[in-house]
Amino acid sequence: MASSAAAFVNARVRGMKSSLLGRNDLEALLDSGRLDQIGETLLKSPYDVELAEALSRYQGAEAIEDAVSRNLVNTFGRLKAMCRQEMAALAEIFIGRWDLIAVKALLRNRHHGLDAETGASSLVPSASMSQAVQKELAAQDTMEALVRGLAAWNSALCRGLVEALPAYQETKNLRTLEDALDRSYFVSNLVRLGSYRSDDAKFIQEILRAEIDRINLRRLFEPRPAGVSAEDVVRELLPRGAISEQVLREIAAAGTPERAAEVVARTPYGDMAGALANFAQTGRFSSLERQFELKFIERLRRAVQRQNIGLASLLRYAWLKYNEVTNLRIIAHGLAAHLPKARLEQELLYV
Amino acid sequence: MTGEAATRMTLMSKKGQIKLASDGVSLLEGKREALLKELIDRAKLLRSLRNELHTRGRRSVLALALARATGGTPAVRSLAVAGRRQLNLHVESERVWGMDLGKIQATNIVRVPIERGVGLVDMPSHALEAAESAESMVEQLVQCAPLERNLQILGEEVKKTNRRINALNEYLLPKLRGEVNLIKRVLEEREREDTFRLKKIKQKKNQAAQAAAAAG
Repeated sequence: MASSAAAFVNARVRGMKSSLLGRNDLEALLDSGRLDQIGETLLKSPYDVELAEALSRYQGAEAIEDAVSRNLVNTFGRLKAMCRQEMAALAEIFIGRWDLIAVKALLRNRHHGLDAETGASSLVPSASMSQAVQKELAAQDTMEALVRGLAAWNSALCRGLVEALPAYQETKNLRTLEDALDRSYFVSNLVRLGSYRSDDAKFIQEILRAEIDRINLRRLFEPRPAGVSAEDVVRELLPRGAISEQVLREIAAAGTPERAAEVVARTPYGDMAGALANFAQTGRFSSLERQFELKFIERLRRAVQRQNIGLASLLRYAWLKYNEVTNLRIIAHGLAAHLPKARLEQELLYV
Repeated sequence: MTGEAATRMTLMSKKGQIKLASDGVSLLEGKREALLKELIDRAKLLRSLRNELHTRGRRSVLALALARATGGTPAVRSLAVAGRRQLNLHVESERVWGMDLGKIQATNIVRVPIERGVGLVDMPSHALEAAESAESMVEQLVQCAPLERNLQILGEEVKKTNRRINALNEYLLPKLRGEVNLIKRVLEEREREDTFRLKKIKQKKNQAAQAAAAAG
């Protein structure tokens, strides 16, 4: 029964994957150098409904961004809707990654006392949170009411917020809530996934561990502000990543980025050691993030090959869709800002 | 001459005014030269700062476009909401040739991630880089803005000084010199009249003396 459900999901995902834009399509859009060309192409693609709607409110790159972002959210919603039982729970965890930003946007608006109308433009659409719920939450007049509302909406995702609320009320530091939310997503989900025995659950655990490693390595290598010791950094690292605590401590204690890179060379992230040392000097993580993303996509690809029928194909499709949306937004905003084509090509990720 | 008596006293006073005006012109020319030097020095500094401002501006536009593309505009706006703050700017002024020229001292415009008011666990790197580039542009802008305003003030002062020099050279000095010449002419005329009158009196006295001598 379960495998037939998975086969159904796989068949639908394969169908959806076939309508993704290919590398040639994206290159043609970039070569055209015209925003209206992107609009015309998207109106003949699965983005047509969202774009037609967006064009009634925005124009140019804004309309394209709104359309593709809403399409992504709708697609994630469809992916979640087609899953059942354990697969649904696992898909929820994976797609919850994008919900975090929507929750943070609500917290930030409330923290700075923005009313629902003023803060509407900084609310991020989410696959799990309907617009009505989002509006209702944005209208809460205290942080406590908002956190309680968020916990009622998604207790698994927002449990960390409830726990961190007293600390926030004492310090009025938004970082307390945001860190608690992220920590709860990565660490609590890993703990929760321990109760599942399936390969799909193990794969999601693997993904979360890789994400924890990415976050920890970034914290360890980023330029350390004055007065922050290695021990302070280690204390704030996320537990349960693939890199052991002992190795993380060694990296933190290494006096120079080069020494730290030598320690990283002994981990599964050895190929990134040089780039991490470079990040320690420049403080710019975006190029490194790209490498992590490529590694992640490769991991998904291998998982799809390993599992004929399973969650991996759905997760891979979700990531490919997200990547396509990002590529379209890069082209649209790049053309609108008259950025050089070569620079845009550097940013586009073809998978 | 506007109803002033053409006397030696007036002449001396006018000559005094001419000397004062000429000294004023020299002083103003000195001031103009110093102002121009100040203006050029500051303009050179502003040019290099503005070049850097353009570089940072271009970098900021690129970073913002990439941040909007990768994370979406609402997410970037949300980060901007979280990073709201008031900039502490300390405005000082220095006196240059009697003018108040402003200077802005700003600290901590470019923040480190820990100061951005957002969680550090999972930060959107493109958005943070866009924020950092924008702050770096603002930092440069804060340096350029008072310098640009100071150049305007200096430029206005150079114009004002030019106008004063022109007014002295083209109007007041020629007018005073004209008045001096006129007084001189009047005084000479009066001197000639006095001499003529004295001659006449002397002549009359001589004639009277001769007539008395002839009668007596």
